[in-house]
Amino acid sequence: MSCGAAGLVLLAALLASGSAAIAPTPASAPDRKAERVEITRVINSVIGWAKEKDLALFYGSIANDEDYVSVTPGKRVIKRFEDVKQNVPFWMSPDFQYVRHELKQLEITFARCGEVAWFFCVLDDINTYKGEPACWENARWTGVVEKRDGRWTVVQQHFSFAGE
Amino acid sequence: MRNPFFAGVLALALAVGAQAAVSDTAAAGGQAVAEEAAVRKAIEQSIGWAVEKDFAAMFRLWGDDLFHFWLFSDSQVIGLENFKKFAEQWRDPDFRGTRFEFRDLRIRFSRSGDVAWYSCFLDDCGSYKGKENCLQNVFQTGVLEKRDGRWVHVLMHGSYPVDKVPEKYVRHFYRGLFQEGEKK
Repeated sequence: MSCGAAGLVLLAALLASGSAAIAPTPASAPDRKAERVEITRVINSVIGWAKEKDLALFYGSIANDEDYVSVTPGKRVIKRFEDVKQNVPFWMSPDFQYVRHELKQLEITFARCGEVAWFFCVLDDINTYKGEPACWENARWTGVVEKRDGRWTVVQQHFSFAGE
Repeated sequence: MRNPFFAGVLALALAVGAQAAVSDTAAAGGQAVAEEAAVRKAIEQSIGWAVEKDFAAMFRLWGDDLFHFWLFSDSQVIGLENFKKFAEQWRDPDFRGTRFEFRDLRIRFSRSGDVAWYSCFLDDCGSYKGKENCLQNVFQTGVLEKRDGRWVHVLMHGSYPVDKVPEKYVRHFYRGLFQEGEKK
């Protein structure tokens, strides 16, 4: 091997080892139990923020981007985070009061990569508006959460009621 | 740089590296397009299979741990084995899918690239004893994961809008919708 060729081989080897060094290393085996607890907390926050009307908690639970999708039982499909804000005056109105909520039969499944999970449950979301019941009872709720920058975030969700 | 030999080697290495980077980017772009096409096909075939009624092909589109909510209260299914029982209703020779259309299909990929989720509106038509019946404007969402090189559905949720929501609540929450409808 000539010196020139040897130099090229050495340089190529150095470049290859350098790129390997900066490539992301696989995450250590996740503590699924703790992750599940955290995902449950985040999912609960999507509804439970209304108790204290803690908007920061709500916004921190969902993806703040153009890809966020939320489907509610009405003819309303939110297709980006900014559109969520249209509903905020209603929720923050003193006329709207949280009473309680419950996630029943919640099941969370992790993707093999461990950085994404999806869930389903049946939701009771009990509220009042001007003292009158304003509730979702037995609403079907599915969604996707992704771990972004170390935090689990709801990136898509779908609420519906089953026809008989 | 005083040594022309090393300057030449460095220039060559940089050129090779730059070309490799461009090739990698192009390859990644091509791969992304291919993955999206594969996911789209898996989504479409999860409905479209009924035209040919190839049950084996349809079951390969689902993960073992699937979750399924469809329009009606009896449509909750967990797991592929239960889904196979659920699917028995479609074996009726008088039933066959006729056509379908996905509108506004939006697919998003996880940062890891091996999970995809989507939303869309679906028209799903089938015939029973020769008479066509269609489900129109079903709102459908779902999740697929790439397992062993294949994209499989692990979650699907289809629903119609507003049914059991108390009207008073709906009218207030979706005031704009009703005003718009009433103007029409």
